[in-house]
Amino acid sequence: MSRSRSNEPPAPLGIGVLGALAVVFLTLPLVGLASRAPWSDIPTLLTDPAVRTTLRLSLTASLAALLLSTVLGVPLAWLLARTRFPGWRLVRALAVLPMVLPPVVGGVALLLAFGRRGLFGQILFEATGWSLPFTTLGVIVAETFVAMPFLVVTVESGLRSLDRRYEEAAATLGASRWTILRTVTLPLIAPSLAAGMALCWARALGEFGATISFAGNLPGRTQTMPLAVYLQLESNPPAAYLLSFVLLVVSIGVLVGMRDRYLGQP
Amino acid sequence: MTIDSTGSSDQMSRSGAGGSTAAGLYVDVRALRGDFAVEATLAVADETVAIVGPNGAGKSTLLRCIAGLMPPTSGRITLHDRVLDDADVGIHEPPARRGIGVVFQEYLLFPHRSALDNVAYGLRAQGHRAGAARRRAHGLLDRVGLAAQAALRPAQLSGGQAQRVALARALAIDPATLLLDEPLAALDIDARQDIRRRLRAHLRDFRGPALVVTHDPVEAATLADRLVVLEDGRITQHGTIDDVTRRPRSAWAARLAGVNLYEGRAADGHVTLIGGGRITAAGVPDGDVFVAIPPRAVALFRELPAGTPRNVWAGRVDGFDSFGDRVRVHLAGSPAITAEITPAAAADLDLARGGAVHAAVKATEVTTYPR
Amino acid sequence: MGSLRRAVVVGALAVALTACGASADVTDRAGAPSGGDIAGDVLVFAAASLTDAFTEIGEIVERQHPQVTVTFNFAGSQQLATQIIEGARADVFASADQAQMATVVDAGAVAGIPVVFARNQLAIAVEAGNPASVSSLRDLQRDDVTVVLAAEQVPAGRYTREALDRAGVTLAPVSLETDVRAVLTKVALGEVDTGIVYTSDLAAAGDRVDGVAIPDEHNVTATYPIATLATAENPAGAQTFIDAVRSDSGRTVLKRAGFGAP
Repeated sequence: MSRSRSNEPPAPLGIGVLGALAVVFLTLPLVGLASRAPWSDIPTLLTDPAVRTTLRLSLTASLAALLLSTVLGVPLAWLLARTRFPGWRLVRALAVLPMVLPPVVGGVALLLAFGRRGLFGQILFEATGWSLPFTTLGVIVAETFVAMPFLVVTVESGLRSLDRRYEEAAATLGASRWTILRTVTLPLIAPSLAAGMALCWARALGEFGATISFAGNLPGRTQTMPLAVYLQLESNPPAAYLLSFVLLVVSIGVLVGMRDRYLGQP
Repeated sequence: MTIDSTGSSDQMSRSGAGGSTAAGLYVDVRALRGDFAVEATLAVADETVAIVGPNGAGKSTLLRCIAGLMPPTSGRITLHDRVLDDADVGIHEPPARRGIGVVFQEYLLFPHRSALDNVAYGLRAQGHRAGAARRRAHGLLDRVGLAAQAALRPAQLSGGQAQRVALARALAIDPATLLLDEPLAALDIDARQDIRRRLRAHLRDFRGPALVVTHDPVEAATLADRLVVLEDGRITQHGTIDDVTRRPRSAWAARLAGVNLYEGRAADGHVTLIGGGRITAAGVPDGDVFVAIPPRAVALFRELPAGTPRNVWAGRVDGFDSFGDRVRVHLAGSPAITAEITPAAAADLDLARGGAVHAAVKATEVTTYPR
Repeated sequence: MGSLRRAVVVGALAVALTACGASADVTDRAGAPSGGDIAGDVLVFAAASLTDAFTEIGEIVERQHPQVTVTFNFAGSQQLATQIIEGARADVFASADQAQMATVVDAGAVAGIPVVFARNQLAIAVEAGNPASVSSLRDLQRDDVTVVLAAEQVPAGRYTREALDRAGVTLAPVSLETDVRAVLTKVALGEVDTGIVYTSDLAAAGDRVDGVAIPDEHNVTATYPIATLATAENPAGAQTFIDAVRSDSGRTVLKRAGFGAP
């Protein structure tokens, strides 16, 4: 069958070889995991209430983190892409800082800000007797902190590469700024937004370091899949391999679903 | 209809004093794009005016200014008694409230919406109900002959169809004035003629001032009643096509008209050219003048000719190119000139680059007019 | 050269196989023992709780045997055991619990018999000054006291469970940390009022945290075994290090670090 792709010249040999090497490098560890996983245990594992609770918590928290990241991150990306204000460079650096910060340090930093003795957390605690760490909300906050930069960076670059004349065209047709944002800007950056959301969600779902140090690990409340996998690794490595696969399959499923829904293409 | 449009500000103030709030579009602005300044004064009644000029002259900048996409640094824009811009008092009506229809270069149809939804966009943005907006949009698509393509996305339309959708989209908001930025530049030659014809018909039907930016003289001549020549951010000439081609006032307009154009000072029937050389013309009044010489009026000789021509000077062949069934010979000399001769004459002359020839122009073939 | 390449491969494998990426230290071991005095590198895989004490003992060994360089890989005992079983090369393994040593022994990776060199006990960690006025395990049940524990998958968590069972105390911890140091951190930062940790951790924490002793009848003693590994390239060096750990000066260091005598 000749398809449209076949019109393209074959890749240069060097690129082909290196690309293939990258594929091998990325898949080999997965094959290693798969080869050690006790596949016959999978029905038991999937019906285990503890596993299901952890999986549900992981999905809920990561999707909530995605929502929070989108609600806050898209406006931030817009500000970074479209405006210049005093301290712009600093804000931009701060916005991507969690990407380079070791997540465990990020978690400790969150404690110092929102913890019971933290800068803001102490005020909150003294006023309400309530604090963020060791709560499901704490998990969401930790995941958002680590994952939001991925969305901000992707959406910002999408906004930068957007041809702004489309927005001008909408303006001459009488559209208000909000209408333009809703009907022109966001639809046109949909691919970037979807990519940013996918990255953000994947990062949130796999989040370990910041979650463990900020929210702790309590089954049903703050224990997410990565934490459960890590602990299983201590006592029952094969179960950990299998749990990793469950996490992997679920995330691929959600990503494919999101892509179909928001991009309308495979 | 008397229209005043000129680059000089004293003429502008004359019209301003009389009635700057007359019907039509009135523009007197200065706008900066980086270091480049565009200054223009023009008034457009219910007619189509083409803004012509070389690339980078500031044509699109001027259009953006009028559309409200770029506030002028100084000056005013009014439209039928409405002040759209007045930099002195800080008035700047945003583009969304100007009611100006714009057809952009490359059309900028929203790629994620169907042709119909593109046309309906403005109506929806202005708060019309979806049903009513779509019905009206359908009517407009029908008017531009694209009712069958209503459901297609812009990527599925041909260039000509996209242009018509863009026009329909601009017309949908019932604009008080229409701006078109290089409306045909993105089309291939085949489509251009048909679309130009359609566009002319639509512009005839349009009741209100219309401005067409173009770098294509044919387009300007077909679509517009008048031309405004914009060069290097200034209006160098305005008038009917005839005015401009008969009496070009700039190098660009001279190229458009296809004549040799010089500036000089006339005294006693002789014009001393600024760039060097002297031309004798019939009945030229004293003072600063333009001198226009059509290439066909220039005769070339190997030897110094004897006889009637009053203007003969020596030059060297700087290059030549064929132009239809004629040969254009570019001559370096004082002044430099382009002559248009037959291939036979060119063969007789045995022309070679750098070869010495004499140019001769009859005084009666020279047109002069005040600068 | 061959051994170096192999060591690199093994090291890379170890990194790939462990979640936290604790890396085996890979060094050229060209300096094999020559003649009487021992020499060369000694690579020690040791439980994280031994970090401070073993670093100091390593310095003592290097002072006494200038030809010897001691290199450490500190991590959770479970991770170290996994690395060793998966083929990471090391000379000495010091575990924080018998179970992990047993898995390594069962895998045939140990040369000789492991010996116990230290003991550790549990204690209640409280914020400096003990503002919550905790004096016993029972106090941890109070509504106004928040507790973090180590997860049961790690040795400290298992011991904690045992101790709580013996005391007949049931707790509702706010978090089950993945290692005992994380328990200590949360107490030190004031995020929780109390946690259950090793006495050795309290010694390391300094002023930020105070300890409340758990009575012997409830307490659990963790025993720390050490052994030369079957794959050791420097068995003589390995033995020298083990001897130093068990020597008087070694014991002094361990005692200061909060460990009990074997």
